[in-house]
Amino acid sequence: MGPDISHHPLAGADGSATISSNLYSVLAAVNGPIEVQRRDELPEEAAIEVNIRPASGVGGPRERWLESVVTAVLRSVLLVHMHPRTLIQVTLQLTTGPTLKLKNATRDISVLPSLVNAAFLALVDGGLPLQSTVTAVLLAVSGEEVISIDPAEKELAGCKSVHALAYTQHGDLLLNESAGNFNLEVWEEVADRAEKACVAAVALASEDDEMANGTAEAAPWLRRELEEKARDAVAWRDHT
Amino acid sequence: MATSTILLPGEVVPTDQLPKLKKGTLTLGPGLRHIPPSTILSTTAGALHVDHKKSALWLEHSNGRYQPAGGDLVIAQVHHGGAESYSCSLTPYTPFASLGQLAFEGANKKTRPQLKAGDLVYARVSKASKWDDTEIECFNSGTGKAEGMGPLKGGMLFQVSPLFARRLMMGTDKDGTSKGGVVVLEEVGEKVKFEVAVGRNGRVWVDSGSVRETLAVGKLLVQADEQGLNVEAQRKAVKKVLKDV
Amino acid sequence: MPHQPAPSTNEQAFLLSALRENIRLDARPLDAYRPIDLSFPGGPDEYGTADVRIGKTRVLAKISAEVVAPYADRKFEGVFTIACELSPMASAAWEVGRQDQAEILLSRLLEKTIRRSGALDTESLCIVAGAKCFHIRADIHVLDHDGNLVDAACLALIAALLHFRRPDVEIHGEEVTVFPLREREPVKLSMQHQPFCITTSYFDGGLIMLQDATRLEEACREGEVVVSMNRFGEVCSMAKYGGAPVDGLGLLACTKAALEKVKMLDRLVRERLAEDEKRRDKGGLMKELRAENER
Repeated sequence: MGPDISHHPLAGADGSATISSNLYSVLAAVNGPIEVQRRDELPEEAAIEVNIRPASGVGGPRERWLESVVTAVLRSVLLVHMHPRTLIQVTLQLTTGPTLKLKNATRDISVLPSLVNAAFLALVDGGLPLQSTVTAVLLAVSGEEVISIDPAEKELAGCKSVHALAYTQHGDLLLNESAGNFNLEVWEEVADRAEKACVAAVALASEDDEMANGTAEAAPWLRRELEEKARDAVAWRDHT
Repeated sequence: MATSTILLPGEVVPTDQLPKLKKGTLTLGPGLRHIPPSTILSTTAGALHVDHKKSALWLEHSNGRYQPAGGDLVIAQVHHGGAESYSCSLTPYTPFASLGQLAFEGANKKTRPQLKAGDLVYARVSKASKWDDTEIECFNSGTGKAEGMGPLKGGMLFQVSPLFARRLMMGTDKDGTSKGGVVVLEEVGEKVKFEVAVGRNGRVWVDSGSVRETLAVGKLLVQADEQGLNVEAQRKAVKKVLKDV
Repeated sequence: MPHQPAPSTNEQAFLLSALRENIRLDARPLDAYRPIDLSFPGGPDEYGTADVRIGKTRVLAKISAEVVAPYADRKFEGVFTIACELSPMASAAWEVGRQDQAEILLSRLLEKTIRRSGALDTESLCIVAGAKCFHIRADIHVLDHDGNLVDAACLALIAALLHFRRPDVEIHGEEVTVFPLREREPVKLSMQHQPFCITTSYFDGGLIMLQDATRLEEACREGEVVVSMNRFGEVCSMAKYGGAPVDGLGLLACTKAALEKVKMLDRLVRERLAEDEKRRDKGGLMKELRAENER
């Protein structure tokens, strides 16, 4: 099944969400569209600011790199032209992470899907205008070339390569970061598996699908979460 | 009520859900955008709502910051006064909206309301676009009448979500039932006298005879919003609070 | 610069007249705290994260440890640092990279209360004098701001320090072994005492005093006094940074009222720690590891 999600945990921010997978827990908060500093102002679109805060420590070049990657993904998702000369501020707070010692590159890549998913959920919670629905997924390739989605810590520690990819519900690739030892063939298979998983996460549920593939990959977890939330918002109409 | 279609961001509205066109035009509300020639895409996650009479459709979603739209009634807070207008805030951390110094009923250079920083006014959005600063006015520039707008004295301000504010302003059906599903104000109004002003920007101003009564009314509204109380639960909450007041 | 919105004159006037009638906006008594929630998130092997909620205010404290060389002038002590950076998550008024006044005050108060008062025994962090010691690092993350950040942050920090376990260390002559968490049970930190901060806000020329102010109450107050003390009534620090003058007797009243609240917070922390220990106790392992004899 999909990761553990809670909607609107914070009262102060315009939109917020927490997402907990087997590896990371991220709390995301979104403010916007709000006033932008003159120096960051863009004449025809909204400026996007992403701040990533690690659980311990202040954050250094690694966090700045992650911020640039997440900002690029969000720019392809947000309808920035609807709010020119404003700021959309996203803050991502990591609360827990894997306890095993991972290689630096593996660590950097493995946190990306949680960050992207958390940011997306917070943007939806904040009612920001979006172009599409995005799902990010983490894949690891073991020494024997076995590909696993949402790997456990142990698999991650001993894997040959790790890949973070994000697709929209239409199958457009928005995030593609990899680390480790792999060739193009392996990557193509990884991308194929990732696309299927991302599209499945927002697939329109039908009884047959659920019966046919009872696997975790096929469960439309993102659609279910967002639909449930949207239904709660209009619940008052049903009672009048 | 039939379950409404829930759309995720970036999904196409199915053509069988579209209402019949009225004089060839279809009105799109919040949460939807038009891709020519004939695709309508959602911009957020929400329930599709269709009004066949007005040939309009929109997505309903609960959270999010208020976005100024022309014709909206809002409660603005004056931040500072300039040469010809006051700079007011409709929501925190957004650029100021400007309120003309003469945008009040019967105002001229000699007699006009003198507003200070921190004052609240009930106003209508006269101009809102993504390219310009928002403008508001405290009177109907067409008729010159205040129509209930103007400075708000005393009382207390309460914060609600923009969706709840919209529900409060939905008015009542032909048979008297509240279209927005909020009965708090009517129920309380049977025992307590109060004045209320609802701003689409998620601010509600309440003024009653005493501190206790004002607080009671305001808190009931906030409670109905935060806890998502339905009509029955609202009635119960009102009864409980009125006993103590 | 993002402007911190000030409340309207209507709100300020209403708040004050309500307080004069002894009414708070959320119907609390003047000296009551909002419901406090304290939890320790993380897996069964993860210690040192405390999540505190006081009403809508939410603060997360995380403790981490690493082995470093001690300061040259303090060879027999370990290092303890508190990092508190306010992020836009809790308030869009706080910019990243720019030190807001609230951040400076919060850092200073936590330093005085916890570090300078010796709440954490830094001598116990020494491994090899002059060469190796533990650096205990506390990170405070303010997640939601609805007033009273100081009390919440201090509570989270103390709870996290009490919860944290550092790696076990063995010294054989010249050789030092630091055991990873999976090989040996980690060890609790040595805490001398547990101080808490109690903030009292005052209004109306110092006549009205209340505790645990919400964000709106903080914006309308004349000033505040922060008393840091432990459950034995020992005062570690008293802070009154500006604000309208307060009568000397008023300060004494604040201190006296603070003691009761400190005892309440202390009890809360102990209860939650005990519950958490039970939850993490893997099938009675704790009982086996205890060296005490049953009588």
